[in-house]
Amino acid sequence: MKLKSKHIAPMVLAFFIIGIAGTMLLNLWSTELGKVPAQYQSGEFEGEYDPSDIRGSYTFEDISKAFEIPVEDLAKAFGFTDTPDPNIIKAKDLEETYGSLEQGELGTDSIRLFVAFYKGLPFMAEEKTLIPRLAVSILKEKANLTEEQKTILKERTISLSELRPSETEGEAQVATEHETTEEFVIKGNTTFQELLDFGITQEEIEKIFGMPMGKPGEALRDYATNNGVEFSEFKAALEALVASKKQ
Amino acid sequence: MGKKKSDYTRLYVQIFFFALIAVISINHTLAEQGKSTIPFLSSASLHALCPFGGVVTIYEYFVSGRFIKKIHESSWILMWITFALTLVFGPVFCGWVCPFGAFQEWFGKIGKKIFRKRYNHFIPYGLDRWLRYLRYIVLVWIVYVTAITGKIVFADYDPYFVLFNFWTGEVALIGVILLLVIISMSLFVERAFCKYGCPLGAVLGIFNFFRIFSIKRNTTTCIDCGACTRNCPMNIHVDTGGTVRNHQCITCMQCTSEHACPVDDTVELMTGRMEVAK
Repeated sequence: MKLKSKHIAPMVLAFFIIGIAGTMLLNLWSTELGKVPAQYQSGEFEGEYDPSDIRGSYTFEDISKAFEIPVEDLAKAFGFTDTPDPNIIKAKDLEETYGSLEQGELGTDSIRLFVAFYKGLPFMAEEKTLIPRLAVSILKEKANLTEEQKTILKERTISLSELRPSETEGEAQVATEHETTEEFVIKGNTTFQELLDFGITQEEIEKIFGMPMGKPGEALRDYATNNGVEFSEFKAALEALVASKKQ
Repeated sequence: MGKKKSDYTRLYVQIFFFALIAVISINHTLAEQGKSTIPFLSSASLHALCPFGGVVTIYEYFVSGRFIKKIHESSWILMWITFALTLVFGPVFCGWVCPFGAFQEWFGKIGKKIFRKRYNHFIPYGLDRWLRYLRYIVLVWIVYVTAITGKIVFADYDPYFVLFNFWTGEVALIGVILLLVIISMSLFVERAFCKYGCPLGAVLGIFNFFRIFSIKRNTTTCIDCGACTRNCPMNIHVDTGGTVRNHQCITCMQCTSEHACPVDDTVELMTGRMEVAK
């Protein structure tokens, strides 16, 4: 049996069309990445979703559905409280938001670590993985952490307010639990996240500025300049608020 | 025997697949940017539309039952469709479908205009013969590194990805450099990447040893003019044997009596025994 070009062309197309259409009918064809993580195949946690399979493309909503963790906890833990719809935040957005850091990485693996400890599931984080202080606070409140897990978290805790690369200037930023609120001073490069971390609420901030709060990582002076106002006009009010919180 | 009529069937198929992938890639970019997309057309990522994604995840799939990161079910299915197609007709995927192969081929026409008969014959046969096995080293390296890391580590080096994503800003510099090197090489060597670097071509090339339809030469009617060999973009010596079992054949059919061979029914894509003229 001999074949010519005029035979090959339709056969090539037919293979692909029939193959793709057939698998579509069988619900096997997908050009989207699955949003359900793999499950543990054996052992104590067999059948449960494995946090190590959380992908960068997973949204907070995907993670919330799979692991039954409230989206609010995820948003708060990773500094997305001011986002209108935290459901659509993707794990990989952390890297884009906080950038690469000298002291480690805050990204998808940080979410895996948070989820694993939140649910009490086994997980070995990558060497440079960091976790926000707020996330640690939530874990301490809602998870049954072992001493070993507490030690791991302590070594990897970082304050979100310290994550802007332009402000770190190469200094080691990993926070320690010895930091006290007494050291907090309002400066031009203080960020909204630092205010939130300190305990000032979004409402209090917006009341002082008289307009919606900026992004968590935004410096107060930048925010003021971008909105056509002087930072110094608000500094005194913020300092007074900080002082009242210290008491 | 006589002058052959030009046949553009393969070119049309190549243009179709090249345009399809290009438009889907643009659609994907639009979707990523939250802009309105081209209706009735997929906005899948390039990773979802490459059968090689299936190849690199074979190990992970059989060990853990899941795909490596960024690999989709569609890649897995396209791999099996391509394998089936190749088992029957040989690597027609390379010769007819692959947009990157087509791109090199079209670019190579410039080199053909410039260098004429010297084109595609710059590398000495002795050296070229061994360089052809480089793509197997590339294949083994990619499969191995992917298996131990669970990530598509070659993504940054993938010139095919760069070709259809250079406008996104997501391509790595090393990938851009590799693409430029391949484009430059295409001016001297036809399908340089296919010959020396393509890991998917390496896999599909193995099918040449047991494919159902093969390129066969009728040694009794052959006039030994060498037209088949001269026209082979992969520099295969079609005129020295009966059935082409070379791992580099891409079933482009340029050597056949339909195209280069001046004698009818002498070089054919066929199955079964070649009838010997009495």
